[in-house]
Amino acid sequence: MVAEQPLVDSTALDRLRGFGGEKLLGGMIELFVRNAPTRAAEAREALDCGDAAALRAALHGLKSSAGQLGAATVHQACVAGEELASRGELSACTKHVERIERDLPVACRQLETIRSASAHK
Amino acid sequence: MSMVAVVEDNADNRLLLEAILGDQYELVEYENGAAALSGFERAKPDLILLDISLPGMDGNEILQRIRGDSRLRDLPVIALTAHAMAGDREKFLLAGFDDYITKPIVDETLLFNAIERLLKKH
Repeated sequence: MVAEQPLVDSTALDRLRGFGGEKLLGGMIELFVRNAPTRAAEAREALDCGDAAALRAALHGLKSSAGQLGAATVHQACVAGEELASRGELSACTKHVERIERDLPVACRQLETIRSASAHK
Repeated sequence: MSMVAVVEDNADNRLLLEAILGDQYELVEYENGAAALSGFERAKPDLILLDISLPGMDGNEILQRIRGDSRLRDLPVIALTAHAMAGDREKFLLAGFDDYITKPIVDETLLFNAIERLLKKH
């Protein structure tokens, strides 16, 4: 079995611990895991409907949360996709939305594992 | 204790700001511009942290409403934004914001310094 590549930057998690300990980190992860998949679904729906403004809004909303929690590849895809969506270049956004759809579930799973481990400390 | 209003639609960002600022300031949180403007009428904060990309009325529009209100116009307002493009700082200052903090928040000192500088100035 091939080990899953880490998609979460531990530096960002340590920074959150510094801001508010395990309680803040756990709360942030809980909110991200609950809300980020909805944002990703909104991005997909907007892309499929050709709605650049809605796509930009969905990616923007996901961007800062992913960045704050160190979900780096998701964050980068949001940055690139938002920039393209703001210029109306929807077809170029497809690969970034696909990247989010591929990486977000993995990042969420890894964050849940971290949250679960920190809750038992 | 100074009252700081946070206008931010993302719950995780509000949670983060509570953790960073909650011991130092009285925080009042709003999820959108309409609720914020209504709240400012009831309880005028000492400073506002204002997200730019909000659903409905965005941060720039809310700022214009604040600057157009004789009771609120002198309030210090810090833009919170995940845009982080070159030239953004100048753009937001020109628009009438007093300062500008980028998300993700990586340095709490920057945030504290911006708030304290503006609270002392006002």
